Amino acid sequence: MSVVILLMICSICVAGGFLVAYLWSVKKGQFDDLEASGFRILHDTSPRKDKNINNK
Amino acid sequence: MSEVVSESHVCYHCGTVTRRVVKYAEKDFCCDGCRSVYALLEQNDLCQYYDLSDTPAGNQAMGLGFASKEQAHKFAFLDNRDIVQRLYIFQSADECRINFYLPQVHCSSCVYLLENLHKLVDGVKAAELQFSKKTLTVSFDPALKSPREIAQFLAGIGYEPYFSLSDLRTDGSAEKGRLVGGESKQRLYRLGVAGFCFGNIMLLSFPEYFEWGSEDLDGLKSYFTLLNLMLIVPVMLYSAQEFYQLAWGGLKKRYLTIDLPIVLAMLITLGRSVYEVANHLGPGYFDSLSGIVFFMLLGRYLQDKTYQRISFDRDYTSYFPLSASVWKEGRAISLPLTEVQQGDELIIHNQELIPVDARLAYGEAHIDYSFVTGESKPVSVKAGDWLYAGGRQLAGSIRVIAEKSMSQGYLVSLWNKSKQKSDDVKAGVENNYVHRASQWFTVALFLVAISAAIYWTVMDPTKVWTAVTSVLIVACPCALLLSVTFTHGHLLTLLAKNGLYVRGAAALESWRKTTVAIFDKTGTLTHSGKPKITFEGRALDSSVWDAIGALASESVHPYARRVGQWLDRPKVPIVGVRNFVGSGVEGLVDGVEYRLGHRGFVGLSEGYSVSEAGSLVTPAIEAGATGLAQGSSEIWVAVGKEVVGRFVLVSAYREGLKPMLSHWQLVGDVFVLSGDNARERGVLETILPAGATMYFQQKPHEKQAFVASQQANGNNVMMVGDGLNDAGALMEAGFGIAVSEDMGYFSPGCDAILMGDSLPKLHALWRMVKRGKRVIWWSFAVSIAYNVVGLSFAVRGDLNPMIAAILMPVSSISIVLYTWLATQWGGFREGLKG
Repeated sequence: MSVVILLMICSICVAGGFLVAYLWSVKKGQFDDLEASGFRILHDTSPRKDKNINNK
Repeated sequence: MSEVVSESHVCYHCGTVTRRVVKYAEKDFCCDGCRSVYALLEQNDLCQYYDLSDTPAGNQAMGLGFASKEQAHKFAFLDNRDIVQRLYIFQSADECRINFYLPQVHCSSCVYLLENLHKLVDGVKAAELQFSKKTLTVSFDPALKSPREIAQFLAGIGYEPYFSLSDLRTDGSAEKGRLVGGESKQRLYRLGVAGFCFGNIMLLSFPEYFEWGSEDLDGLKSYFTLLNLMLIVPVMLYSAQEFYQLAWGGLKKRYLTIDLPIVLAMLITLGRSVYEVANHLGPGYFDSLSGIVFFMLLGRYLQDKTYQRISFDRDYTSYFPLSASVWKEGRAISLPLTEVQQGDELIIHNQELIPVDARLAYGEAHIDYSFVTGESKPVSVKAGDWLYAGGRQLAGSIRVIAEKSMSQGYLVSLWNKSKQKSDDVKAGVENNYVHRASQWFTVALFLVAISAAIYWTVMDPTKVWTAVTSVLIVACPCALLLSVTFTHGHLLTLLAKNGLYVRGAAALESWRKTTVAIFDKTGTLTHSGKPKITFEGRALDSSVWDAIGALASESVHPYARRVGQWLDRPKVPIVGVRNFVGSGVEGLVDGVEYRLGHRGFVGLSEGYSVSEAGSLVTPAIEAGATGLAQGSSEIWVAVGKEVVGRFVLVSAYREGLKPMLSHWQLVGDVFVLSGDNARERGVLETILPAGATMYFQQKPHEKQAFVASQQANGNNVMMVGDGLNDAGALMEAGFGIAVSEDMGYFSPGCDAILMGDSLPKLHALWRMVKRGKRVIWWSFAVSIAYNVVGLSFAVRGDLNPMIAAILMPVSSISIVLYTWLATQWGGFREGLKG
């Protein structure tokens, strides 16, 4: 039985990881501008960037 | 007009179709501006710009060209340290960051080009474009480049930065836009946390739903329940905060909002669940509770989705320039507008806005007051006369003496007066019928709960507590909230796809109740951007037309350039071009002098006699009056010394207005208020349905007073107008719609912004909003059906968590689905884009 508890804790940890990833991406502004990123992927050479200059 | 001289070409850069061609690198360009941008990109190996979309520059290419004289002084204020300091978002010795608002941004090529700015301009370190806000953040080395040089370069490649007074930060705090962004992020955090907890609680509740396993699983179940208890904490303490705040805010204002019964239901559910868990009576209702919070947050997120590219809450400061050129101690300096004092001598260049109420010192002033009065015909002003803030100078530079500081001006006072009022009115109307419904619902709910309590007190007192809490848990009014928020969310999205951007869902309700429709004429019913051009005069040879076309294209005046586009002649060599600002343009073709411009410029005096060659000039013109409808203009043509005729530019009415207007006539009264004089009454009568009333020569405050008088009669007014000059009336009206050609610009305090092309669809969009209300009522009915099922269990006192757990998501999801399908179907029926 204890193995189920262990699995449960694991699964919540994994899900928690996703939650943290989501919160991080919101914080970093990945949801601020949904359109430009879609265009950027079309560019052959991605422009040099100092990471996200809006949020530094 | 005449035979085609050469075939048409499409400009490789901007897509303009023209017969005048500039050849470069085996590609066709319409003008030197486009060619030079192409050459620049080619040098820097950035031609992918042209692969990402066809003719990417679009119509932004008008007036292209590097470092033209006009642009040279346009950004002079960026050399003023004080102004620039307040524009920077970051500043250090070797790096500065500044935001440019670029209204022309529109496609993937724009992103590509602007984010490669560092390859084009030395000293620029990086550039990042926020597409939805059309804002370019540039970080650069202040030792190598000044912000003015960057702004001029951007203008040169067709992205002219737009600065307004509202960009200036008055203190060190974060800019306004940032704060709004923070709020929407907060909601995304809450949504994420609620979704995480909801999913995990559902998973942990599975054994309960299906009664899995044997007796020895019971130990496990209690662990799971404990986990659930832990997971519900962040939902209640963090994610649901918004509901507590709204409910408390409503209570303080003695206003029963829908959030109050929801919070009550949430607390009761939580209380009963904790009680059950603590006494080992059952697993509680954590799954339903977290699910409700998650779905309600999702609905609100959808409903409040903001249109970032439109800012509704701009005020007059968005219309004024950042700075003014002040003549002090023998030279011109740029001063922030807020520091302009009474008595300062200001220089107003061609096409600039007059920033403060002032008197003309000297110079030739032709002022376009269309911002302020709606009257688009320029006014000539004599030295010593008043000039009012908001007017645009059309003819060369003038010097004026400021008479008032900016904050005391006429325009600002008009704005403040109307804003005060509308804030009061608009606070009161919010989803009236939804609140009424929720009040009825709450009353009915308490009646059921009390009857259940009385019944069980008589029959079996031990079950009273169970039955009453079950009733309150099952019949949570969240289904009402869900149907409203989701329907409004879908509606707003649908309207936005069809060119109507509504400020928020609350405004829809006042629009739905419209009984009187009022339209402005200039810029609303007429199309300000594309005038209808006609030529009145004698017949001319093809070669003469070529020469006139070439000369018109060389003019700096936008009207003359438009004539050049309209004529669209092949390019012929032209020499000695001279522009006389405010009068006209002259040039030599094959040794013959051509002139385009004012009647005085081509040699006509006020009491001129028509040359025999100009016999086609209509008698009305000869009569000496301007002979022109309001909002139209004329450009005279002289070949040699002989006047051959004139071009007349009339603002044209939009197409498809008639059916739309007659639909509104069926709803209620239709009025047209025009700032112009009654000259176009006849044309308007052909467009308007019988029974519509027209008023002419209406000043902005008269329009506002008219709207107010209609509302005082108990009518719900929809006002459709344009720009700043109708701002007062738009604010006064129950629902004010600003018609705009360009989303980036004019959006004063109205309830919605309508793209000019979508005006014929206005009534269909309104019918859609009416349908929206029916959708909401039907989903109410659906949710009540679910409630009846749930209640029938609840009043018997045997509400199984399993039933609650099934009913809750099924009812929520079916309502979400229904609202989506119904709005799509409604949009399809009304012929709208889905």
